[in-house]
Amino acid sequence: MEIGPQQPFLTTRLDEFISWAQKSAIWPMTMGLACCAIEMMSIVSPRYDSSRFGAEVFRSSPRQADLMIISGRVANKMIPILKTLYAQMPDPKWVISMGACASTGGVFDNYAVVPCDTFLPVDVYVPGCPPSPDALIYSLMQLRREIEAGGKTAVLARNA
Amino acid sequence: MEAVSAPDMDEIALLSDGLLDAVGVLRREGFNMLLDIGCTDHHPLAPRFELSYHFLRFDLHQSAPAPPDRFRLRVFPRDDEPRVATLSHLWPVANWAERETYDLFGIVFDGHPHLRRILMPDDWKGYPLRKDYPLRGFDRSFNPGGRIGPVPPLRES
Repeated sequence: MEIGPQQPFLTTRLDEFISWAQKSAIWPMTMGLACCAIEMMSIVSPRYDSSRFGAEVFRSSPRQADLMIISGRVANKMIPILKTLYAQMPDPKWVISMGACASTGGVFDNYAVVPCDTFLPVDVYVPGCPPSPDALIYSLMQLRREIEAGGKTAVLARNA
Repeated sequence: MEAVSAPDMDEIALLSDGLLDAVGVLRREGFNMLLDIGCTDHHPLAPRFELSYHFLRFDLHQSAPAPPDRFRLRVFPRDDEPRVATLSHLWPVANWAERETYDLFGIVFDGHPHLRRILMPDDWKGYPLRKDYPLRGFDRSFNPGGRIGPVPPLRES
């Protein structure tokens, strides 16, 4: 983050500190809906250790989590449940839409499966069916870059 | 009522009035297990709905267990208002199987203690597995790829 002449020094440092603190301790919430949940579980295994990136524990309670990884197909019966859980998460909160089914409906072109960005704001989409644990870790790194940059457009410009 | 021998097991096709009598006969013959209740929609052919009940006769006290005898019952309810008697007082497995058939096909089971939707949301309109229900559903706020407007009549292919 550049320090320009018009930006005060102390609050810039404070913003940097806050975004560093937020990106270093992202605690996901267990939202394993379907097959992608298996890959999500494997990122806490010793091989793809996600706790070295700060995702130390997967909290079951939305009150204690700040990342919802929607892993799996979302049925339309599940929409009010997901909305309730998302509303119960305290700010700041982020959403990773993991897999093809959560992002676009995946292989399911029918009345029941709904892409999750029709009712939730999504920060990172992870393609794959299922995405490998590497891909999910990469999406976690992308989310960290996004938090550090303070928004999405800065990340897109930087990583182009 | 006619007796037809299908290649895999014995079966009988009947209208929905004769279901309870046939089931009583089967129980007396020793068929003590109902496996599942399945439904097929043959639209635009008539009769439209076909329910298939699969029964099993096995003997728990046999010293040398043999493969159990199987039987199939095919029931054809009316097209316009499909109502069939329930079997949930005889076999508890029929409870949820009939709820699933009601949810997805719209066949009402008379005498069912708790007939309501089991797979779709409670306030869903329509019966999704019927042949005249669009695959992508109808256009809604969470389903923008759905069908707008009613379904055109199906042709017999």
